[in-house]
Formats: sequence, structure tokens, C-alpha cells
Amino acid sequence: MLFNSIHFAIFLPIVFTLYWFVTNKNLNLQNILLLISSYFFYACWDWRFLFLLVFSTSLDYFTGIKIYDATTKRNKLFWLWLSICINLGFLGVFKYYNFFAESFTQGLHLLGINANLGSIKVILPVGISFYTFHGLSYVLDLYKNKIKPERNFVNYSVFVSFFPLLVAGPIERATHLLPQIVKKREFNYYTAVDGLRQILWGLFKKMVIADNCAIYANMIFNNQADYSGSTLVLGALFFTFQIYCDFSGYSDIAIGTARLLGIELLRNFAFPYFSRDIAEFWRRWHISLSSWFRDYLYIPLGGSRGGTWMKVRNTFIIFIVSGFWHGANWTFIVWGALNALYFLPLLLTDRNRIHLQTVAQGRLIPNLKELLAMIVTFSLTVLAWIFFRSQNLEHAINYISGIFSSNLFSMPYFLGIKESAITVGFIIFLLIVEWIGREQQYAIKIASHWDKPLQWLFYYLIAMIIFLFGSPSQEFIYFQF
Amino acid sequence: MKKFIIYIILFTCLILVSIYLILLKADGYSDPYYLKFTTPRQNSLILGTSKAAQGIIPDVANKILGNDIYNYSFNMNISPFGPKYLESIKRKLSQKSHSGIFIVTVDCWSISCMGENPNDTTKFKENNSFIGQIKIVDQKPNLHYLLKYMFGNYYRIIFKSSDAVLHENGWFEVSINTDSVSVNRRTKSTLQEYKNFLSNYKYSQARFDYLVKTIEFLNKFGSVYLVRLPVSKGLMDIEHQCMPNFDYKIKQIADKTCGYLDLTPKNETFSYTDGVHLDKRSGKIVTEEIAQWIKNEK
Repeated sequence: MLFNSIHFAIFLPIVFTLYWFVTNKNLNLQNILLLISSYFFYACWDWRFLFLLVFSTSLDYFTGIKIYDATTKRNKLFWLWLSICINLGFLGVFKYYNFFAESFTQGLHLLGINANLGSIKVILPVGISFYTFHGLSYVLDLYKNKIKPERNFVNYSVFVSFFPLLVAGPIERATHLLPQIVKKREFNYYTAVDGLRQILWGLFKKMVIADNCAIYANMIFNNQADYSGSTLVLGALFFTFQIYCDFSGYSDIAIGTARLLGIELLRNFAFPYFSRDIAEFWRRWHISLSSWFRDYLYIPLGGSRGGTWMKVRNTFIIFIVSGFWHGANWTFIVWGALNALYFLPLLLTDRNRIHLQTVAQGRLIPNLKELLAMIVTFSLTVLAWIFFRSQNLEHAINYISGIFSSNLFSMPYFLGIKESAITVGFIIFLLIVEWIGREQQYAIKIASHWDKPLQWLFYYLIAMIIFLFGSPSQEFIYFQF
Repeated sequence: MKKFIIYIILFTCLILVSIYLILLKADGYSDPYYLKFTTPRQNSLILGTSKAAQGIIPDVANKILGNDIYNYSFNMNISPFGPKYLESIKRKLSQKSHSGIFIVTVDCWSISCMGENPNDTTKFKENNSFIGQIKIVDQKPNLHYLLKYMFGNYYRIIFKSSDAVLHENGWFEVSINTDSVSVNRRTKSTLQEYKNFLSNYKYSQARFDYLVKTIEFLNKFGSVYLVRLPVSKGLMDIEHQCMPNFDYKIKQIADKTCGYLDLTPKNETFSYTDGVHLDKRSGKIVTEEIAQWIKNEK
């Protein structure tokens, strides 16, 4: 069930009505409703993997209690590692087995050894990377005594499988989400309106920009050899906006939906394309994943406290693991490594935390230095996205060498270039709106300060733009991760 | 909560009414097939793929035949001969008259199929398309079609394209550049696409049987005329490779019809927009020729 589908448009009002009008008097009942809705939502993708979700939830629920109740550190460690190994084991089998088997076989071939580890035919359970990380954060926080275990199975299950975030995040923390689940929620008009507004903006980003960009990005990336350097640049730009609007659009809808149910989710994007350096970009892009890796991998590894070598090692580890989290392909690993290379000079010169505030705060126009910094950072990101989008490394390298060919400065051309001007127009509109609203939680929150008629007109126009220019429902990119 | 619900209902109604009003405006500029599902049921039909949709002009034929023939052709992905196209034809045909005229255009693509088993009708690609799914073919506005199958974005309903228009009589008029550079560029790319089809398309006995079934069904309501439309030399060569015995196959069933007119010997006489589809001027000449032939055969 896609957020941008008619099914979800029917599903959400039903859940909303039952949630606030039928089960609102009893918190347990309300949570049971959330759990049933979440499992139904998940089963709409593939009911067979529901068992895996329930197993994963049960595992972390029981090991969580065991970790807390264990009296010795050895016992705590045992239960922690049991949970980590099984969780990562599932992830490894479903997501990475074929990659490792193929890479290992190819490696042996290079050494002249003929061997074949074979491959398994299995589809990746949707959302596995997300709910596994939910569960892991829970047991890790328990081990560190940051939280107490949730002994109500329904409450814990809602934390893991709450439908707005189940298949593509934001990756929640038990410290943030669980207290909201165990507490009675009250309907708040302004929060609900805010949620709807964010859903509207998310749908605009997904349906009007991401899905239309996808048409051109796919055409150009899939037939890269046929296009001039300038067209390839355009293709990379289309993908850059596709991936941003696809994923941040999803997050907006997820956060907005949760708000309708009185639950606040973690912020996942903070206008990353207005970043002035890569460090700032990573503080603004997929925030819930970046902070997860920071807290559960980077800091335990020593973070940036050690010597230069340790800083370099940890930086590469976190970026490569982050790339690998996205998928079992060398392209993601190179994408991660490239970002590490971008990031390292900032870290080593201690300049990785100089842009903590929003760019041009309190001003409408950035200064020249800020503008140049944003353009450079954006360009580096576009280059890295080429690896992310390519089918394999050879494809990415051919794509990049195609860009730097003699026809880089020719007029770009591809089938549908005239129609693509509409999409470009909406990208410009997006950039303007996001720039104006960059100090808000999400861009069009700024509309909440306007007069009522103007607000209604604006929402009406956005809704009509979605209807007129939106593409038919397509899957979100991050579902495959 | 009450205020929230009222606002939500008001806003939703406002949006739904606006959408409905926009959909009411959908016409032949909005989508290449929409009007085929909004016009009344017909007594006489032109059937086939996009070659026929663009190349046979009902008004031209009607002048000669004194009939009211309707172009119910789509494209090779939607309307090759098969169970779904036949069902749709049955829905579009009024079935009240027994003196209809049916121009059934044939080519190798409309009796071929992609995939492992070309005779497995359950795997035909058109099964899930609108031809297999739209049950009401004479309703305006046809919301089922517009909401589920409309080609491209809805803005086309408001901002009309001037390149192509579907007329009320089912003719799909394409008005694109016919200068030699544009035609050559399009021909090169279209023929390459058809060459690629060669490795995937296989003759389908099931589709051929459905062509026969379609003819037999239409025979009950009038006279059926088989026509092979002209194509460019490049496409002719590809079609020969695709099905070398095409003529032999069609001649086998020609006696079930009122006649078979093969216009491919005159391929060189006509102009094409992309090597496959006749341009408007040639379409007019070809339609006149077909209508004249039918008139003589009658």
C-alpha cells in the first residue's frame, strides 16, 4: 500500500476515525488498533514477510527483557549479541548473501580457483533494514541502561511496526517513540492540521517532482551511451531531485500521518541541498540514519576522539557501512567512500562543525560565499549520486566519462525534453518554497502564519498541481533498501 | 475535532468537485484513446493497431461508402487480435444492424506475441490494459478510464497539445514535422525499435485464431474486409523477417471475408511519419483507395 495510492487514501481515514472516535477512551485498545493497522498495512505488501516482522519484534522484545533482567555483564552481553546476530543474520541472508557469494566467487576466479557459492532466490522483505535498526537501537539502549524494557508486547510491537515509518523510516529510537506509545494521546487541532499540511507537501514532492524526474532520469541513465555530456548532466540533476523528493516526500507523509494520530516522529530531512559543506549535508540528509550510525557505530568506535588514523578509519567505516546499508552493490559502497573522501578534509582540519545554523539565517538572500559553498557542495553531491543510481561501477564510470566528453557544452536533447521543462519549472518552485521555508520544520509550514483564505488557496493550488501534474503512483526508492 | 472534520470534508469536496469539472473537459487532445470509450456504440468499425488508427480516416471513407464507420483501432500493445480486443469490439458494436462494414487491418505484429509461450492467452500483455479492463465503452465522462488509464498527466486536459488529436470518429490525427530530417530521425529510431522486437515476437496461433473468431463474429453484423496497410520499405523488410509466410496465412482466411486488399505492393507510393504510420495526406489517399475497393466489392 503506497502512501500515494487510493488505497492509502481510504485506509488512513478509516484508521483515523477508529483511532479518535472508537478506541480513544482506552489506550490499550488504541495501541491494538495501531498494531492491527500496521500489520494490515505491511501485509498489503507481502503477507508472508509479516511472520518475519513478528519474529524480529518478538526476538527483540524478549532479549530486551533478558538484557535488563540479567544480573551479570556476561549475561547481558550474551543476550545483546544474540539479538544483534539474529537481526543482522536475517538482514545478511535476505539482503547481502547473494552479493557476498558473487563477490567471493569472483575473487576466487581472480585467483584461478573455480568455485561457486551459488545464489538464493529470495525477494527482499520490504522495510527490513528499517525495522531491524529499530529493534537494534532498542536492545543497544537497554544494554547501555538508557531505557527500561517495555513489558507490554503490544506497545513494543507498535514501536517497531508503526505503519507510517514501517517500510522506509524515519528510523526511530525507543527513547523518543516508546514514551509516546505508552502515554495517552490527545487530539490537537493544530497538530493535526500541521500533519495534513506536511502530507500535502510530501505528496507534491513525491508525485510532482520525484516521479516526473524519474521518467527522465531513468531514460537517460538506462541509455547513457546514446546521450551527450550535457544531457548526462541533466540526467544526473534529475536523479538528484528525484532521490531527494522521493525520500523526503515519503518522510513528510510519514511524519504528517503520525501527527494526525498524535505521535511525533523524528525529523529526517532539513533542506540538505542548501548545505554549505558535506558535513552539513550529512547533518541534514536522512538524519535518522546518520544519527543512528553516529550513536551506535561511530561513537563506540571512538568517534573523532583518537588520533588522525582513527579519525580516518572511523570516517570511512561509517560512510561505507552507510552506503552498504542502502544495498548490496559496489555502487553504494563507492558512493559511501566518496562521501567519506569529501568529509575527511573537513574533519581533519576541524571544520566539520562550522555550519551548524541554517544558511543565511534571518536573511532572504545568501551572500556570495554562501552561494558558492552551496553550489560546490551540491555539485559534489550530484557526482556522488551518479554512483548511487548506476547499475554497476562500470555504468557509473562510463556515465561520468560520458559527461566529460567533447559535447558537454552542446544543447541537451532527449525524447520529451519539451515536457521536461514543466518538471524543471516545478523544481525551481520547490527550491524557492524550500528556501523561503528553510528555517521551518518543513517548507510549507510557513503557510500556517498566513491569513486563512490565503492558506486555503495555497493548499488548494498545491492539491490541484498534484492532481494535474502528478505521475501515477510509483514506488518509493527507499522501499528497496 | 469537529472543526477539523468540517474543514477536511469541505476541502475534500472542493478538490473532488474541481477534479470532476476538469475531467469533464477531457477530449481528443487529452488522451489518444479516451474518446473511443465515450462515443456511442457503432454499427461499422475499423479495427487494427496504430497504423489503422492514424492511417484510415473515417470521414473520407464515409463520403465514398455513404456509411458511418468508426475507427476502433488502438496500437500493437493494446489491440493485437486476442480475447480482450474481441470482448471490447463486442461492447463497442451496437449489434443492432446487420449491414455494417468492418475494415479489419492485419499485419504480422497483430498476430504475434512476446514471451515464452505465445499461445497462452492468460499472459497476453493487453489483459491488464484498458482494453481488457474497461467494461463500459460509451460513457461520457468515462471516469474509470480517466482515473485509471489516462495516458500521461491530467494537465493535458487543460493545456492541450497541438501535435495529436483523437477525433470523435476515432481517427487519431498526428500533426508532426514531416520535413525529411525529422522523418528520417524518427524512422531510424522507430525501425530500430521494431528490429529489437524481432528477437522477442513470435507467431501466435492463439492470436491468429482470435483474428478468425473476430471475423466470424463481425460477419453476423455485416461485411468484413481484410486490409494490409502500406508501410515503409524498412519496416516491410523487418515484417518479412518477422513472418515470411504472412500473406499465405492471411490468404487462408480471406475466404471468410468479403475480400483481402494488400496495399504493401504500393509501399513506395506513400509517405510515412516514422516509417510505420502513414502521414495525413497519404492516409487520405489510402482511405479513398480502401473505400473505393469496398464499394466495388459490394
